[in-house]
Amino acid sequence: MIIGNGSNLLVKDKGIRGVVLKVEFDKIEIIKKEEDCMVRVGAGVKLGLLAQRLLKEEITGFEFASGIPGTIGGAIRMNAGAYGGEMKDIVLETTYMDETGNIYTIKEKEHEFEYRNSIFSKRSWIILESVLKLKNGSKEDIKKQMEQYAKQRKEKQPINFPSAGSTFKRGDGFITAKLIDECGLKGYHIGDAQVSELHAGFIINRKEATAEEILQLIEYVKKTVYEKFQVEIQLEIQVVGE
Amino acid sequence: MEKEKINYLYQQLREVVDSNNIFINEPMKKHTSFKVGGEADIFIKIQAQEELKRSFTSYK
Repeated sequence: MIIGNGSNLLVKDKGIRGVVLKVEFDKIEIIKKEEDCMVRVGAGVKLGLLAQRLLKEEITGFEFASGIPGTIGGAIRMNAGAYGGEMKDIVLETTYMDETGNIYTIKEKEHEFEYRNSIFSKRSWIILESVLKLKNGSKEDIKKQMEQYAKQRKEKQPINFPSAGSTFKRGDGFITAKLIDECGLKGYHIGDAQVSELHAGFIINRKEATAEEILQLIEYVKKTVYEKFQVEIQLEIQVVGE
Repeated sequence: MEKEKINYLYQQLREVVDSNNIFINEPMKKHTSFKVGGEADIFIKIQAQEELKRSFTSYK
């Protein structure tokens, strides 16, 4: 299996049989810089690092992703998003390797982006790099926007504890974190796995949580929400291993 | 995976990837933001497309 930054991933306690590949392609290349800008980015580039580089280059449109803990490859695979922006809005093309080692490039609509999904979440292709379409901007504005998002994130998300980001997907017509909160589950824990006291949509590792504890907590949260609201909530994180 | 198979794969992968970037029984808690997870039989850091292609096809 392929991983990036491991930031949306729960690996079970007995680990993974076989080979795990961590893609570390870290190239950032500005290929066009006019009113419209194009940037080619290796799959292993961390979103925060790219955001800093784009700030320096005065290229706007990527601010929404600056605080998402992950790589470009991972972000495209799951159409990561925050604060009203999604990867879908800025990806022009993606080059990938298929199961047989052949390399292809797909463009915009061919990514089949949906909420937290893309063609890559349904296949075992490996993302190599993508070209992003962005705009020329002002350093001051970009910086201000990024700082505002960082502040919001810090206030609302448990960034001081290990987690895999938002544990559950947004619901169809409901906000999952709100339902979990209304079940009184903030702070509820099994061992060191805990529903964040700050944001009910996050499960955090208080210290030495095991995957088993986290999975038990996930099941408990799902069951409790179902009993109270009769809706099934879905995982955003990916569970792998044995 | 059986130990022999892991060793065999390791030898094969060493032909295509720098051995400093191949790890056996690597704890996945080191590589996940959750800081959770057991060991991967083999864990490889891939830094070039050619490495990816060759390692990908060699263990399949």
